[in-house]
Amino acid sequence: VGKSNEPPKKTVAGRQRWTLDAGAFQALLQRLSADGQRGGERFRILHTKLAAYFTHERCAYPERWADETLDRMAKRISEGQQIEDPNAFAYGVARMVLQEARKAEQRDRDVGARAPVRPRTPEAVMQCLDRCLEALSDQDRNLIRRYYAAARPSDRQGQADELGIGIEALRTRALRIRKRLEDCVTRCREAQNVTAERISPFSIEEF
Amino acid sequence: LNSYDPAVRYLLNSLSAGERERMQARLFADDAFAELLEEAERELLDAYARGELSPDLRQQVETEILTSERQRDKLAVARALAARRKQAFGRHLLLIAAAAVIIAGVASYWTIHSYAPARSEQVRVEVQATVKQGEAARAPAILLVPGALRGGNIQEVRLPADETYAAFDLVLPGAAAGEFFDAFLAPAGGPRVWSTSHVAAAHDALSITIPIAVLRPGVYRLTVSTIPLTFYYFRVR
Repeated sequence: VGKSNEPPKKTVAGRQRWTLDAGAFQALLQRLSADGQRGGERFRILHTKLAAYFTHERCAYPERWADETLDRMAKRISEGQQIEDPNAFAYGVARMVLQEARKAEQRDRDVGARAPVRPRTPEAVMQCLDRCLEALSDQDRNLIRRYYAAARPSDRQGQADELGIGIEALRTRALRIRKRLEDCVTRCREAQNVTAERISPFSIEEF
Repeated sequence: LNSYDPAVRYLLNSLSAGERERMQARLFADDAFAELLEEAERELLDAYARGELSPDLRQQVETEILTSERQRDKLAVARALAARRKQAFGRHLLLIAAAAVIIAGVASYWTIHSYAPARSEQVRVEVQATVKQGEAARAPAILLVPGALRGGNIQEVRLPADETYAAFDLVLPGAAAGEFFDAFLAPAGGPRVWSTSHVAAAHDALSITIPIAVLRPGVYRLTVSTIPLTFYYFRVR
């Protein structure tokens, strides 16, 4: 549920990594919300907040550290620790993980280690974008294109009126679609296995 | 975009340590505040993508926000949405630009071929254009139009003699002045032979210079990093 696809580190700060199992994960979801369905949603929101926190702290791998924080939360819960406020607890754990993250990333930089390189040519990114835009439903694609094409707030009001929703609801909808688009681009780029320098050959028939 | 907004100042790491900590505690405690921060970040990236930030703010966005692959993916989406916006406005300009280029091409063809036997149907477009100051090329720029003449001929270009660089003016409908693009050059069926990045566009146009050493006789595709990609096809004689 929203876990990073980046390869996890086997150890953090030299310790043997505890492995999250299904039982611990279920216990975490249960603690986040008594309702199983809401637990998944709360997990996703907390993961997003954690990734944002590590991003704001300029970590190179915010998703990985968000995963690590949630793993540690799950471990504490599975060990029987009582957690009154999961959000505040997550913040506390994240602050500790941040110290280790900084050391680990500095260590990586010192030894010149590099993360698995995803191709980051503008072409590769834009091919993903085109694919992800095409993967949206017509309705969502039209909504987001029109929303971000608006030059003035009044244009958006017109769009909201046509959809029969308020301007705030339109904003929320556009934001959610955009997040899906960003997630899709990230996943697509992770899946790309072309080399950075490769360019698709083209033939004269293309003309 | 209000650079005094606490959310923006937090994102750009301009708050005191105490203020920053309070913002972070609220990020975890308040879903609505977390969304507000997300939105402020997207507004910053949108403004960055549209070239609307001051040099100082651009620098801050690069050092404080564009710190991970994920963040750079978000910028790619912001650029795409900015490009769509420009394209929506520039669609009608495409027709005007295309018409102007066709007229220029026909005029050029007529001028060249009215004094010589018509050897082929190929249209060579060499339009006098401003050579940007500071660029290595001094010869008139070669004008390229997006796409190809489907069912027709590929545009032929003649490279300037005694020059190290060839200047190209690309018709790029929807591009805003100051918007940045990358460009890639590859021969037909071959790998990329040249690229450039972060070139500032003029209104509906992009000027680039390509080292003549990479341009051997043959057909080339020049790709510009719009969304979707814009292609220019030409043949070097």
